[in-house]
Amino acid sequence: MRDAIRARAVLGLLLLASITLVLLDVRGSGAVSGVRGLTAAVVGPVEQAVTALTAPFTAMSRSAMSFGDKAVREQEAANQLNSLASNPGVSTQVARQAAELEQVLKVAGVAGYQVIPARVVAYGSGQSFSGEVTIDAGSRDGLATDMSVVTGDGLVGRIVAVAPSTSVVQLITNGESVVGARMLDSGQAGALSGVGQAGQAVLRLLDPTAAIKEGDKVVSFGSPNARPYAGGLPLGTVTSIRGDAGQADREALITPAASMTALDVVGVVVVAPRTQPRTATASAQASPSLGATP
Amino acid sequence: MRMNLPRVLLIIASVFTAFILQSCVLSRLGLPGATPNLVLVVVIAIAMAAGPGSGAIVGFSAGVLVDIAPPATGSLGQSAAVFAVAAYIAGHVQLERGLPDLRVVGTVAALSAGVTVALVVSDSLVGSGQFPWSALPSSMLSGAVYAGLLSLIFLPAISGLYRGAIEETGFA
Repeated sequence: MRDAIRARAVLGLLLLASITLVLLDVRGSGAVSGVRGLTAAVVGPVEQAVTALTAPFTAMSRSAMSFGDKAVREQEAANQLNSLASNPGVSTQVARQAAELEQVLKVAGVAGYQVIPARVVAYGSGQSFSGEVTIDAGSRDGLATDMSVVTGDGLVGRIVAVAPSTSVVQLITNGESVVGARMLDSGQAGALSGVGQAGQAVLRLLDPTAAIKEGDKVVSFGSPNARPYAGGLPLGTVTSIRGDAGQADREALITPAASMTALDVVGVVVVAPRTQPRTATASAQASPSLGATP
Repeated sequence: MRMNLPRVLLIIASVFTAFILQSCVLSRLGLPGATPNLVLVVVIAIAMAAGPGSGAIVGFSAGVLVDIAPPATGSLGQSAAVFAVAAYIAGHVQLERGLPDLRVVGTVAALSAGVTVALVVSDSLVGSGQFPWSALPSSMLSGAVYAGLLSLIFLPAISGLYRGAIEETGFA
């Protein structure tokens, strides 16, 4: 009986402590961010090591889990053929990462961005729909918060926290993410918000009467000095439209250009070009020949 | 059951290992639905062996780790509160030796579903995120199934280690 009372008292104290922590964090206490940075410095390297050790195993499982997903299977088959044709000794994993890196560097080169390559080492838990990933580059590599993270396919997100050797990236599909956007064809401006699901985001145009249709491409609007978001990067494609033209709450569902569930090699934009590239990267992707001759 | 140094070290090691496995391996397997919540299963296993009071302390500490270690940038204290309550409830379940029975596995699965809901609700209260409520049922269900399966392995393992830690040192 005494044990039960003691346990209840302990739980009560812990709940009070939790509420205190939530309040401290919401108010932006410096102590909390200090502890966060310290933990990241300790846990980050461990996560990097474990990810590197288990990479072949997790890659195998991912491909087994995507069985039946035709697009993914075709992509994997194409990757395998490519790697076999060029060098039979190179494993598929390494070949895929090399291809992703080349794509990142090519797209960044066309737009005049300088990027630092990094690998995704940990995903946030899917149970809390966090939409955040950890990458294996940090302040020692010259990264800082509010830098854009890209893949060869398009914008991935921005850096929200930096530790010496790791950083946390908020994906554009995160429920708290909002990115300035522009329709590639019409130039109409709007805002792309995440909804907390990996394969989806919602676009609201400033002008509710502007023409928009399925299949339209959306690129990032761009901020000064490319922070937090670099301009002209592909964001995604319109898949469906809710509401009619002129309706104030009309919104378009967007499928992100970069696959948020298969992130591996990414690039962090550290130096912006002297002029805004606007839609340079998107057009480079539309016609591969342009990208090949930068 | 009383705490001693080997037990505390064992608890810290198992919670930390579970966290690393969850964020680096389980989350990258591409399993359908939610990521299996191994940290929660380990916390529940410890709570069932140690009782509600000690269990709640372990749950709180594990929750703080989940809240502050990368890639988490959500509000500190949310998972801590939710895990503490889950461990407190789990601490009232008496654990027998051997393979866990249906009652115990069911408790783990139910707690997992409850924790998923509690985390989403607390995040919508404290955080500013908008959540896909339509994805919640599938996330709850898959999370509960994974938690039940994981408990078949980790409940006997953790409780065995936990009992062993005190018998070896002769404190019992």
